[in-house]
Amino acid sequence: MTYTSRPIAPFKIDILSAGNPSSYTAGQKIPFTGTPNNTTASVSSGQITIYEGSNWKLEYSAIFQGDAVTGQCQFEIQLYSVTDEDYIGHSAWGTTPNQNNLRKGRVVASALILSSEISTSKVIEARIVSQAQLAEPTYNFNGKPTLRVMELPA
Amino acid sequence: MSYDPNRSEMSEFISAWNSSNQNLPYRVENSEADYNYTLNLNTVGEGDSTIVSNKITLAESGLYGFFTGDVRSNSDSSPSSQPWGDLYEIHFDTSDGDDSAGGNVQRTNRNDDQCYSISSTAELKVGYAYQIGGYTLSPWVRVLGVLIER
Repeated sequence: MTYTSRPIAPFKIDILSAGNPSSYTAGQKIPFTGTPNNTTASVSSGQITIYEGSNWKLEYSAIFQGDAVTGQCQFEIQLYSVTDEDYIGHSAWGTTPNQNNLRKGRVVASALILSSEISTSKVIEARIVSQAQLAEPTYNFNGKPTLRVMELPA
Repeated sequence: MSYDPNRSEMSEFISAWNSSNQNLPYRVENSEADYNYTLNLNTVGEGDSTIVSNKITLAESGLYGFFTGDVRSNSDSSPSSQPWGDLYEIHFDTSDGDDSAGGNVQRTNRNDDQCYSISSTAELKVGYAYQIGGYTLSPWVRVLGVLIER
């Protein structure tokens, strides 16, 4: 009997959780947590390591709270290559009314890293680029931050 | 073993939505509560899936989807006291990822307001809410998915 393959997107994905920075200041790391089950990526010390041989799309969804009374805040968060000592990809941008609210953007930091850009492996973390009145989410209604790790064929 | 000779022509994408507005829970207290409220899905667009009791189920066992859930809602109903914005989270009922919840805060964008899951089914829920009211705007209760390898 001959079976015909069903079309399936040729990539693997993990959804990992993310924690809170040790302080809410520019340059602080936002730690990734959890263990990848489907991709070959690995997580250690709040950083994710990806490997040569695959192309990678990373997406970090930020979830934060603002001022305890007004809810106001502003922040920019971007993925950072520890290996290359440089920010990479598109930054997440969050604003509320009265906080530089004319600039709008998706609250997701993302990067596409090609296998050709990786020498054996690359260590990546999320960092606060800038912020004002950013605060740890203390309520469940804020949702939960995630890191989506997509491993695509090179 | 069931076998569909047309399977190689089937889409690897999945889409589903609610074609009607749906009333949301109403809350204006200054505290949060877990509503575990199922958002209706009644229309399948792209892909080979079914909806049973508002849950998307893939056509064949052993398949998994990477799902994205999104909601657009209007708090402008006519309650005696108006909720301040809509402060609630949405999530999928199942995921093999660590988390699936995204926020939903009208008039601000300090949260990613989509949620994500890896699963063979997809049921979209409103979970914790601080302030909520009004109704979802059709067809903006929607789930998009793509079949993936595991």
